[in-house]
Amino acid sequence: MSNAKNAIQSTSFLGNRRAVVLSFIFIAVIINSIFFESNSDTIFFGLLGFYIGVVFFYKLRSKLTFLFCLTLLIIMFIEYLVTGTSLRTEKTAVWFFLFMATGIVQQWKEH
Amino acid sequence: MFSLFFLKKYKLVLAISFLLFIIPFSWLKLGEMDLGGDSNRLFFYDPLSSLTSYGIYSVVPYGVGELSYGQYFIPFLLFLSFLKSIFISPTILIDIFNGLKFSGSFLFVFLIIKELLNIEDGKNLTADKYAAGIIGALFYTFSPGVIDNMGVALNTHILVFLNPMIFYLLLRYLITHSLKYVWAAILVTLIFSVSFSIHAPPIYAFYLLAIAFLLLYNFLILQKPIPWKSTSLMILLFLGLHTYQIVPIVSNVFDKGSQLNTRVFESTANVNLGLEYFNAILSLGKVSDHIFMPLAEKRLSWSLIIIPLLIILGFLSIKKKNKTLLLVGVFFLITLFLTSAKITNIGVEFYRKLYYIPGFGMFRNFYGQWQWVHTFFYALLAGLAISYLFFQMKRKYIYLTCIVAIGFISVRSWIVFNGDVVNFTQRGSQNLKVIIRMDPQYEKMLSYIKSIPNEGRILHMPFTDFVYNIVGGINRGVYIGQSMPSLLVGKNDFPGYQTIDPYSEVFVKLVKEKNYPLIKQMMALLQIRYILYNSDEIVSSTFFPAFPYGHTGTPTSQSQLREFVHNISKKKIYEIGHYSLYEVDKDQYLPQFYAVSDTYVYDTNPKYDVEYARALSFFPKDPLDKNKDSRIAFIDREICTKILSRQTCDQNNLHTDIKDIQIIYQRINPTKYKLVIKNFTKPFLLVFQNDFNPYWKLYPVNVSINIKNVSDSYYNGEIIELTPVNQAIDRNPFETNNIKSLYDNTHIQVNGYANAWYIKPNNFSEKENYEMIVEMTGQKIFYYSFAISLACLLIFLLYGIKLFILNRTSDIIKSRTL
Repeated sequence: MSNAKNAIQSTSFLGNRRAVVLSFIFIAVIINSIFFESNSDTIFFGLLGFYIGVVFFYKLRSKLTFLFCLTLLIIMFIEYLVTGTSLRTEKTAVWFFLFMATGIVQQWKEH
Repeated sequence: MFSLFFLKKYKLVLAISFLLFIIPFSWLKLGEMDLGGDSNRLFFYDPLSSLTSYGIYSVVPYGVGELSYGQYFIPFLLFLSFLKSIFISPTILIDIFNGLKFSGSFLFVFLIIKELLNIEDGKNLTADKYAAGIIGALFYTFSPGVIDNMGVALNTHILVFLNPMIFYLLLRYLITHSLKYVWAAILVTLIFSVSFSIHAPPIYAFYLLAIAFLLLYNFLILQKPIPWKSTSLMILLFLGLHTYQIVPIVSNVFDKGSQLNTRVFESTANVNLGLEYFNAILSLGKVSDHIFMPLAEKRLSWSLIIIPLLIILGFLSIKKKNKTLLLVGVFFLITLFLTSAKITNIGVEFYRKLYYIPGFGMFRNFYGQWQWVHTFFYALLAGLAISYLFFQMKRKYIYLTCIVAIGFISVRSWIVFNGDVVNFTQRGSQNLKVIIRMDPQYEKMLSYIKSIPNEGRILHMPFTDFVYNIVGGINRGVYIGQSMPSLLVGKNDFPGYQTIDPYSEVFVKLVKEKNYPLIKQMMALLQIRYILYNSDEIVSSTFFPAFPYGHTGTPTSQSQLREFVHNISKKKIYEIGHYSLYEVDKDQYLPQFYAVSDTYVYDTNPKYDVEYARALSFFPKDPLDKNKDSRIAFIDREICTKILSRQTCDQNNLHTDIKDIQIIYQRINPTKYKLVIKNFTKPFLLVFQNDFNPYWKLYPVNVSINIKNVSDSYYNGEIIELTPVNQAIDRNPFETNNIKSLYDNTHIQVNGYANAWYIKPNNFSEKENYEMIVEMTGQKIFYYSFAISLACLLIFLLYGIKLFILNRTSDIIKSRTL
């Protein structure tokens, strides 16, 4: 009984912090894009995997993923204008690719 | 009635298409041509000469004449000849093809987008779909893949409009199951055969993915059964029609040692060249460049976000599941991965593994090979996504967005409208243009070369670092491209470093040392008899300080060139304008066939590059004694043991008494020679100075040779060359069938590249005079395949007539019932 109570409490804990969790992921991705030049597959797939888990947990729509694609596109474009095809621009492009792929799969499973 | 309806409904699209078609007509003035580049496009200038020079026979007309199946040019060159007979001017021909690239690509991408949208929601064309289709189609037409590659276009560049056309026809077939679409698609592949050669990587890059898409589209969205019986029949008909080019090329793939064999199976070799090349250029793959698609000029770079932004907004605006959009999205991402190769480290490792698949090495230049299929799916994605965005918008905002998007695409591509897309400065030059107006004096020189009645090869001066021939026009333009004497006249020549292999590094060394006696000896071993000297200042280092000169070290200033040419030749035999033809001393010239007096045995040094430096292993350091017979050959010791004993081969110099032997030869066509050997009483080595290939064979026949047509004689009449017959089409293609070839087991390579047979008189009876045909038997593969293709062409045309009649009948019945 107490285990079930704890589970419900923790679910509510996460359920009430959806915005925080999503913000954490998005900020982590943006910081990784803008401030770090090196590529790490652990970070790419770790964060992406975490995001996919969050999508399932909160039953998020693909619109959110595409909104994030839009943000990444704008960041990538600014970096492209300022620094050309630098390592940062390329990294943001890879994030864009990964989130776009996620959004397409999400949209396929939706509706 | 249908046609009028089509015209009314699509009047804006047709108007844009027409405008795009006529734009290229403003780029070139009549008489100007844009012909240069890595690919041979001289066929626009003279398609018939091109056909006879390299379209029919399987031996290339340049360098040392290696085996190469170029017959895929035939239908295209015939088609061009037909067009040239109507339009006459090569300028108009070039303009027509450039116009087709723009208007065809626009029209068919629009039609594909329209078709996909109509199928998805079952409704007909609406304003939002119309507008989105135009944006998507213009995005494709003005993409870097189309525009940036237009100036020095490869032969496969025509695919920019052929690919959407064929895709549309196949899509219509899947929707309607009407075979007329497939028939039309097959006809297009035949006419434009130059772009559908099976050894061209862009074909595989596009059609593997396009067909996968169409099959998935049919399975997931159309959900119609494919009529496999009729589809299989059409596939067989397609293969049958293209047999003339498929079978020879496939046979070449399985020829060990051929370039194609190396390319396809290099993944299984110790050194995977495709993977090495990929690793070397991996840093050039840029994901962001393939998302924003900037032109080389990078104009209006802040507008590059418009299309990807509209696409993402399109995804955001979708209210219900759209399978077509998602499927196109998946293929967009696949092609983005393939063309950029830099999606995560795991992605790069996975990409490297692909190079172990036989044949995948053809995509070593990944960002170039996959760019067109990527642009294609990107354009489809743009058209579809933007239409869903427009569906949510009011009409006035649709028009505004259209004007902004189309405006920016058009302004960004301003080089298309002002002609700079083809009218740019020649690479490496001091402000010289790529467009040329042919010099009539050079045309006269080409005519003179064509009239030369012997097989002597030509060395070009100035000599470039690559394969390029460099010729000035009368308009301060310069042509840098494939050699005109070889591709228009059929005369073997050496314009640059990469054509003179395996003697390339030998030549560099000797030029540096200014060792003219040895340069002449090298020229003899390559059968070089003439030097074509271009004294035009415009092709010298004054106007080309670096590219395409620099590595070889041959003189590039006109004063040094004159001195160099005089030192390696004997006399000038023809001069017109800037162009002079010099001839070497006949005493140092080795003709096409000769008997070897002295054979020098050597050991191949593995440190030398196989392709360009192989001859360094054997080329002498000192010139041959002038008193000695210059009919020599160099043979690798291991190869020597195939024809002689080990003990004999351990000697470094073998002498043969060839005093009484007489050789008479005549060229029938590039793949066949008649040969008579007289006073043949002892064994000797017979050299044939063409690229070594086991397909060259000797056949004993009773040939009749008219000794009256003597072109030249050498070594006091010991070798007689008769005037070449040069049949455009072999009149006896199968005359050596049922004749057993001779000396196959003593057929070896000498001099680093040439053919030689160690022949003994024992195999014959007591005769002393022997008649033979020397034939490139690989040519017969083409003859048999061509016969099959001709038969299939007949069936194809008859079937087309049947489809046409059936279609007309069904249209009449429909109109009557209505």
